[in-house]
Amino acid sequence: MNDQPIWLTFLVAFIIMNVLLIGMAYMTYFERKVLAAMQDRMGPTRTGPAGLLQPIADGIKLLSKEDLIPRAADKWVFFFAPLVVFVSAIVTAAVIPFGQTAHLFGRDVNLYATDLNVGALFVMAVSGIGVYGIILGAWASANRFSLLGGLRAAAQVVSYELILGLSLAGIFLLAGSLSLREIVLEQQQNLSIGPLEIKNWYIFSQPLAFVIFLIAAVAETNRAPFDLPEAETELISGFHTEYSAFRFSFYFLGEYIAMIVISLFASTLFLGGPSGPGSESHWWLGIIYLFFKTIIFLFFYVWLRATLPRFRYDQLMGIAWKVLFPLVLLNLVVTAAIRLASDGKLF
Amino acid sequence: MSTTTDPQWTPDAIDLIRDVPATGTYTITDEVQITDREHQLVLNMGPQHPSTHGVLRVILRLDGEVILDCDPVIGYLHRGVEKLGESHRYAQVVPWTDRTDYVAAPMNNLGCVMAFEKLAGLESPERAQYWRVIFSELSRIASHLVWLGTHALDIGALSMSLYCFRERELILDIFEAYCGARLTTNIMEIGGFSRPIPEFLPQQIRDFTKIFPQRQQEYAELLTANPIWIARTKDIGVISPQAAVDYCLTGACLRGSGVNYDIRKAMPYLVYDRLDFEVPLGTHGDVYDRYLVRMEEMRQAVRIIEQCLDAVENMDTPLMAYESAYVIPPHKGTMTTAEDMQRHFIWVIKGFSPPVGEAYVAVEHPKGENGYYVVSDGTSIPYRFRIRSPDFVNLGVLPYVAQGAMLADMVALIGTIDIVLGSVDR
Amino acid sequence: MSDETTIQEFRSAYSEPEDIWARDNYFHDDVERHPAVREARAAFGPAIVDVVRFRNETTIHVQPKYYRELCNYLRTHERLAFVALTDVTAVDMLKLRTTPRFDVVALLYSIDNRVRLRIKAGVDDGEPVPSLVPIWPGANWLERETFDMFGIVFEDHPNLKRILLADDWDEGFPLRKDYPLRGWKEYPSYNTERMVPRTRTRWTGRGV
Repeated sequence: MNDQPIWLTFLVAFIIMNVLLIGMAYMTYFERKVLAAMQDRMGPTRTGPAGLLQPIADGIKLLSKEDLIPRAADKWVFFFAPLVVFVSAIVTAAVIPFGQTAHLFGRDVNLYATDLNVGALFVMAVSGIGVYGIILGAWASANRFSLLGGLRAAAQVVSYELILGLSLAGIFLLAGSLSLREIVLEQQQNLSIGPLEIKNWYIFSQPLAFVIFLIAAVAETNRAPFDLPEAETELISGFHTEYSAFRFSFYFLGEYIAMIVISLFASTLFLGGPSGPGSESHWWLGIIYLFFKTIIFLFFYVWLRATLPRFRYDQLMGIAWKVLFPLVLLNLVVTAAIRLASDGKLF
Repeated sequence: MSTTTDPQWTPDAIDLIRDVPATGTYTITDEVQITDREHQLVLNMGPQHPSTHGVLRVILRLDGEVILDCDPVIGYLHRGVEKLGESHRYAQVVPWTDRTDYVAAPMNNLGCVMAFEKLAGLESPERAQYWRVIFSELSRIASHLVWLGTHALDIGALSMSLYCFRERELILDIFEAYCGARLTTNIMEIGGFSRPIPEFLPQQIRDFTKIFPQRQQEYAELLTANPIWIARTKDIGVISPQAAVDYCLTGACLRGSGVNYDIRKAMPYLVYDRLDFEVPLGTHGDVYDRYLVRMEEMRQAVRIIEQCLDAVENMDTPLMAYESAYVIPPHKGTMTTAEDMQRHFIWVIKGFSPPVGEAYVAVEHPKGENGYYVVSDGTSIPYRFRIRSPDFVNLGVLPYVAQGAMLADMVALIGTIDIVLGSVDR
Repeated sequence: MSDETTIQEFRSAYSEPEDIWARDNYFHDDVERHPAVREARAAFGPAIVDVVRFRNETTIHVQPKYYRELCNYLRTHERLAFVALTDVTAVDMLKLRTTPRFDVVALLYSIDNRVRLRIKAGVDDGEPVPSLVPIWPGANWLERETFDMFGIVFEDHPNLKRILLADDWDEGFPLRKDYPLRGWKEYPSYNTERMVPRTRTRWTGRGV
């Protein structure tokens, strides 16, 4: 890590934020196209070549629509709830490393906004704040469907936040750090299993944690099949029933950015982040690797949505507490034991 | 919260609107009973709600996510088809039946037309009967596809609806090829079919029956063994055989509970007694069983269509019982001879007058028993025209099955009863 | 007396007694051989007003007092087993006879015998009919609809109120024969200006 002037950090953060926003816009395009392909449809085709301008058209539409506020709504909370979701989603991206250091225009530029020594914890803490936006927005809407959606969101996020955190604890034990940059560095080492030498990606050493993380991440971001808070067919999109126009678009942005960030997070923690052949020498290669790794996760999200029916609320809780929670504890204990044994401290 | 003080839906108001038979056979479970009214929420689902299949409104009393009570409110789509039927001539009534259950319009026509035929005492020719079976089984598949798509969509399987509507499109194309209309087809006529069957139609239907079983297999693979689907449908909305009969259920809701009553087998009409098919029965009477029953019904429908096509392909007999006075005279002669034109004109203007009497004819509609009860007073207008629509009666079981279910099950329950509000409200 | 009849008499006297529960009897020309008619007459006697057969469909007219009892009798009867209620509706007989005004129609079905049977109870306006809900909970909505459309009151019905029409519908009962097709009230038509004035027609007595 090198020191760099504060304006440069701001510049990097600004670029990351804008890339995320554009990425979010094209995430919707990607989702619609993939979903369309899976459902034997065309998807957006009319706006621009192959519908490429569709996200922009959607954005303009959302911004120019009438902003409706229910008479019974709690106005201030109603105003600020979507912002909580949006901000908490976008702030998490600050600690994601897109590489180590690049040499640009005669300067060494860090390819991350900041390197907190508790980066992973930061991601989970801030994304945990996002649920306040959902609960408050649901409550402030003064709509019973929203209220039910908000309650579901609260219960769901509390349960799955725990599992998400515990599934990563094994990685922290192995890496010995909570900083995402250090975890990425750790994964660039080689892991030798007998004659075989592979990259020390944590997906290989923590496969169970990876699966649990994936499930918990889907639940954490309220996506199908765990999209209970906004179940369209039961709760009429739940917590954002009463939201319209750009307030709705903040929820929308928040949800999709959360998806992208959690995918980035997953590829950083389990797939080695930007590491790959040649990424040490060419920083842009690392970004491309990270991009494709993230796409895998995003595709997985869309795939799930196209395939699976939705869980029921009690079943969702049952999975969290009866299945995933014991498994994740088991994973943690086994990882800790192995770690101690490798250090020779266990016996 | 501001909504709980809304005077219209205070918890006490539900007593006025609850619709629970006093002697119902169900009991509220203990865990439901211990909750006090302070913590209950009255939720108004519909009439604008994505998964009430139209304009059904359900008022729910909830404790958390558990449904304590539910009261379906219907009638938002009531157009008075029965009253209209009592003010039009017999042949004019038939198109009205299209508008009741619009996803299986030929089936509605069939029941209505057969009731009029029974009243008049005429029988359609054999070939027409085969074609009636073909069209009605096609509409059964179409109706079940709409049911499967929307039911799966309600439970969250998004892609299913698009797949199902893709196949339904093929059936609508077949209807369009015969009569030009896709949804409200008015395909059946009193006495048979007055328009000739196009030569390419059997082949088009054969193409469909060739494609459809494979496609249906794909759907079955997506859902039947899917753990989430099973978790969402197994042991939900269980109706015992006794309750199914007591609640006057028919169709897949009744057969899902294991009661063997299919009008096609019990009181065969048209040529069903000559066809080889099976009636699937459920064992538990839950949502999953009804799903399996309907899936199997689609497979059997394909079998029936193929048998009928084999039978009619080389048949060259007339399609219309022209020898009867109750049947519209052939259109062919109207252009050339004055007598034919006069007969045609008189029939169209005056209609026909069946003898005084009454008749009830029921057909096995995709949703259950679709019965038409017609009373004639000897004029050309039905004296009483009653539609016994299957989903109206089946929907009455909803308060019974919703007791103690979760809110998310509500959409599964509405889906499994398979309602079309046009038919419920008529 | 010809030979043939003596032979038949001989046969009927000495052959095995005919199965009175045979399925043919349900559709026999002699309606009195219908097992349900026979059993109902035996059990209810004078309460059975009339028995009609038309197009192979049997209708039993019963006094409204015994309407539910007859249905319950047929339902719990061991051999008849009309366990299923298919339909409950009514017919306004205003133009066909003087009294009683309505026929309440219950359509029963026997799953074992595969036979339908229609029970009719003639009631006057305002005269109550026993409800079938205590026997078949499914009759709930059917009777509500009958009340909604004809104004027939069903006794012991747990929730007799409008179902298809609005709760505050104050125009009477639309399927009665004296109810005009377009209703009693003029409704304002929104955003339309009527170019052609309304003329009274012979059929409805109202503008079309």
